Amino acid sequence: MGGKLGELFVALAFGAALTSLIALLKAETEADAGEKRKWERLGLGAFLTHALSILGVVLTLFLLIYFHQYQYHYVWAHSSNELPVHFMISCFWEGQEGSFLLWCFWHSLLGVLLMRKPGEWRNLVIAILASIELILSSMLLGVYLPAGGVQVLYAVMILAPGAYLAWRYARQRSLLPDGGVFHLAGLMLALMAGVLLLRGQLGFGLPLLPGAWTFGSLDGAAFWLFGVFFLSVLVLYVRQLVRTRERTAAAIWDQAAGLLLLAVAVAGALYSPDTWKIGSTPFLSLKAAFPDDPAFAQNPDFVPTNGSGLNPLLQNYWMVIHPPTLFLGFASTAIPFAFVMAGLIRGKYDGWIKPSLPWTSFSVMILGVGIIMGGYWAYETLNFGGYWNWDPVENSSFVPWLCGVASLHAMLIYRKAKTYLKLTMLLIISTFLLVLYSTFLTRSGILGETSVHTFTDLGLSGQLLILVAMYLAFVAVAMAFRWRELPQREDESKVWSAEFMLFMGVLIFSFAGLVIILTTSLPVFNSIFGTDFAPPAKTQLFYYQWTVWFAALFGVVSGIGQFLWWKMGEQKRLADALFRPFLAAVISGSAILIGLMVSKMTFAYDAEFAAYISPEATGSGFIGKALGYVKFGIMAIADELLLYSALFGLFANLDVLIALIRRNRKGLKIMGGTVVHLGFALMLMGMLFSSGYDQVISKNLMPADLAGFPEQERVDNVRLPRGYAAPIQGYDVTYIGRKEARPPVSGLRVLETRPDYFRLSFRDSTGERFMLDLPWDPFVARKADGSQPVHPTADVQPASSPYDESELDFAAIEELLNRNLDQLNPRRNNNRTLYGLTFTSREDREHQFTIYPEAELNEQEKNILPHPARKIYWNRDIYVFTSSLPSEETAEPKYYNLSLRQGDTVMIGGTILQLLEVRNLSGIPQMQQYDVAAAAHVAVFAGQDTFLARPVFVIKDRAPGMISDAVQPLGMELAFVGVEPEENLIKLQLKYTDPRSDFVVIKAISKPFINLLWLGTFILTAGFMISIWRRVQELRSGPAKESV
Amino acid sequence: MKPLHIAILAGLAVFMVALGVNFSQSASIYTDFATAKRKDKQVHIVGQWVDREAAHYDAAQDLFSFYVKDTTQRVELVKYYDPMPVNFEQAEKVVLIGAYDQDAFVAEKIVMKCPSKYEPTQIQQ
Repeated sequence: MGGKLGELFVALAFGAALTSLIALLKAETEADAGEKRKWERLGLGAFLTHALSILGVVLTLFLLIYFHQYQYHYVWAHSSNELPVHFMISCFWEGQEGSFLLWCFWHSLLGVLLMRKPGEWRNLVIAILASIELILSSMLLGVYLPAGGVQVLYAVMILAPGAYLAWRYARQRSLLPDGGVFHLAGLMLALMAGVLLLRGQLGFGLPLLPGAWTFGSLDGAAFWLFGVFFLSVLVLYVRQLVRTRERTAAAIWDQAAGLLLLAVAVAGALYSPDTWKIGSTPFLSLKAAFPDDPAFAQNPDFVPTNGSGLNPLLQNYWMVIHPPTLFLGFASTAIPFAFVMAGLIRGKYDGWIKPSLPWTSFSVMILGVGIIMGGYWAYETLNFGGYWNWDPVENSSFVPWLCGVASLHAMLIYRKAKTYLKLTMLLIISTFLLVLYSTFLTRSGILGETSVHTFTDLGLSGQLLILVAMYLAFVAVAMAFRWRELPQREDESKVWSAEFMLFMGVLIFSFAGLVIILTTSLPVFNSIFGTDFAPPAKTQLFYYQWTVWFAALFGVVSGIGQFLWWKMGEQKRLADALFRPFLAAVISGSAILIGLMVSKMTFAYDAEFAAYISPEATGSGFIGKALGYVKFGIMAIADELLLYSALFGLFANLDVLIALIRRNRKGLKIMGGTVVHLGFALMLMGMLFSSGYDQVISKNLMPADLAGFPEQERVDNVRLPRGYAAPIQGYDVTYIGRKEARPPVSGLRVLETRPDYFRLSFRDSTGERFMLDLPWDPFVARKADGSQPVHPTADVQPASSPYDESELDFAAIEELLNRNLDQLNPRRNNNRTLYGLTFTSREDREHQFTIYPEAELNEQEKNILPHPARKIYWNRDIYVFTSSLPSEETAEPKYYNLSLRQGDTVMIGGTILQLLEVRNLSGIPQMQQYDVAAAAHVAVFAGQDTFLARPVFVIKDRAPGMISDAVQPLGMELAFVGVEPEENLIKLQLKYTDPRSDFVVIKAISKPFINLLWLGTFILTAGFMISIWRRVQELRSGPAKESV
Repeated sequence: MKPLHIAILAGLAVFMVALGVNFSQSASIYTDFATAKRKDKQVHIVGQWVDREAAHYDAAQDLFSFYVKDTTQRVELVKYYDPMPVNFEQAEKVVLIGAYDQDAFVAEKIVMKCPSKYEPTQIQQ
């Protein structure tokens, strides 16, 4: 039911987006004012309908998840009964369908916001957004075309361009304004030839199939011939477009429509599997997803009682807000893009800058915050020991941000000096296309071996690729069509001008993006050319070597740029003005470097760089040596340069900020940009210190180990058996055991019922939730007449539980839990085990802290995910994670039941236990609350050590209880469980965990000044907010004079 | 063209050349043990963990040693100076990044490709 409603909403959203696109374009070309108004109303109404439908899809999916409707594949695959409501939101982005939905949702929301403000750009901008929404909501359709349908559609795709051209020719007697008929005919011929050559010969399942594209085979050669032919005709065609004189909006649409159809035909030629799947619906039933599953063979109406759950990595509050933030950032890049496209279509190149500027700032801010959130999540949850891993998935969201920053600076140049318009437009377009490209990279599975993230391909990468290609074709046409017309103004700015510094900013960010995207795209290159290049083995080092220069340039350029922007020093006075921050940077930078030297902290890559001048690397030749020294020299000073430059940027921006606030009352309002640069300078310093000067402090310093192992510096992990203190740098660290549930319990509830057991959730004394599986029978309340409820036999109702949770005797369960909690071994509700580590400072014994790295059991995958723990100081983090854990079986405790008379001995696992005596404790004040209290004194002999354990047995209100006693170093815990008076036997229970099996191997890293990174992020975001607020104010108050 | 533009263009040209050279030097390749042994360079090797019983972690040296079969079915000893990575047992494929050091392949980094973390592939009751 709910699923049908959801599907209806999806279809409605798709149809409404299409209607909106067509109606708004019609409104744009319509000359008659009344007609225009009619089309406009239809288009805007359709967009609103689209937005509401998307909201409907979101709500439907959420309700299905909320009410555990596991007959739907998406709900079953991504949620479970145990999932708290706030993590249900995360179900939306675990699956591909959900992420497209989220993306759609943001676009439609932003569109509705834009719709409210009438203005000359509104209709076209909404139309462009509708076109994007059309593509995205088609990814949610989930339409399957059987083989016959594919043939028909395929024929249509091939024939449609021809039909379109014939129709055009019949109507207008020309194909292109300037008689480009030959080029277009050539194009069609090339296409048909290519189709004939390739169809049936190349087994294209998907484009970008490795191997099929190489020159090795006849097919490959044919393909490349076709490719070259096609491309050269395309170039001729575009050249024709550029030269054409008829530049009306209608002409653009004609050209674009023609080219889109051609793109469809090309796609049809390349992408031709037997059946087609258009989009993937989140409302697919489980049965449709797994038609052959035995569960359905037994019972066609089978519905699982629980879902397979959300990936534990996503069960983190950062994962509730990081993906939607990132997607909002992605979605908002579409707005400046829509403005650019609207300008191109209309042939108006000026007016769109101003209304789109706050949106560019907004998208850069949100995307930046989203990326940092992801980094913080990785830092807090994953074990790789940092916040950034240069993984392709991370890079593919970082590059659009870099490009967005470049486009923001380009827009500012254009606003100030009316130069570089083409560059500005290209950068805005690239930002948006990079977002699409990054979606393709992460969702197509093409990253394969290069990424630790495993994204499965839902068979949609072909569709996504075609859609992106069509979009690209459209953008290329529009850009080519207008290229000659675009105003071009010679750049007359001097070196020491704000414009030039802005231009440097554009270069810094776009080239940083270029380096990263080229390296990240290596798998794409491999797929196309059948090569087997791998990313640089030393990934971090490679990216450091390149990005450090951009970062270093940023400090200097932003500092000088801000002075020039606010005209705080005309040319000859500039040197004077900059002298103060320069001096401050030199002094503080040198002080920091001396401080680092004194505390013997070295830069992370010093050893790598030193290797450049080693004889093995340089060889004996002079040139080799010289090159080695040049490389060494360049790289060895890079981090120092970055430090000085970031400090200079910091002080210069601070100087400007103070001056702005002093200079006028408006200072607070206009300081946005300065604050942003200040924040970024702080972030760079946080990155430099925390990653460049991080230190593994868990190097084992045990003297016994130091003997005889020459490779000692490689030992970064320390193995900690429970209870022993191991010396590491600066601390003694002790593994104090796992954090366990403590009685008394409260808040009992049943999570899940199964035929043979139920899953109980309860709170321990600290208020934390635990869960436990318990059998039904002992806890089902007896009815008044003393009979048990009827127990249905298994073959009557195989899949349901025999009892209802209302029949359970919760008082009895609670009593059992309070009595035997330590033996029942309940798990935390989130399936996490916490390993207690106590650090004692060796300089100051009083300074001690305990942190708990976690290990999370993923029930479904049966694997363990470790999470780090941190001790946060103002000037550094101590970052600790378990790099190895004993497997569950060996760490499982063993129980021995002992019945001993006074003086008896028993031997267990190499230790001897002797029951010395039993003491009556009833007279002792602390024990007065009990009716009976007795302690068994047991001596434990292990080698040369003797321990005394004193477990206590109590009775209160005729209920027995125990206070057990542990011999920590031996992994023993003794409980006094009862007495048999007639035999004179004392009954003890020994819980024995092999101490060798209860250990953790940890790695501890000190990360200095990482807080600067987070602080910088906050300042940067605040700066953006101020600046966006000001730009919006400017828009509202109409054309204001250029603020200086 | 002003001198400034020429200077910027020249700078960009130098930059791109440097990037190309540096990339070709630091780029690694996906390959097998036989090729890795010949090359004195860090490579990526895709393979499977075999002879699981023979794997061993030496806490004192902080060394995990194990055997991997590459795509050409050749089995080699791999040394990894860290404990066994978490979830190593579940990985259906491992990517070793490292180089030969005398008789054994020393992995600097291991990337594990676990069976899909995102999409369950069958119903478990």
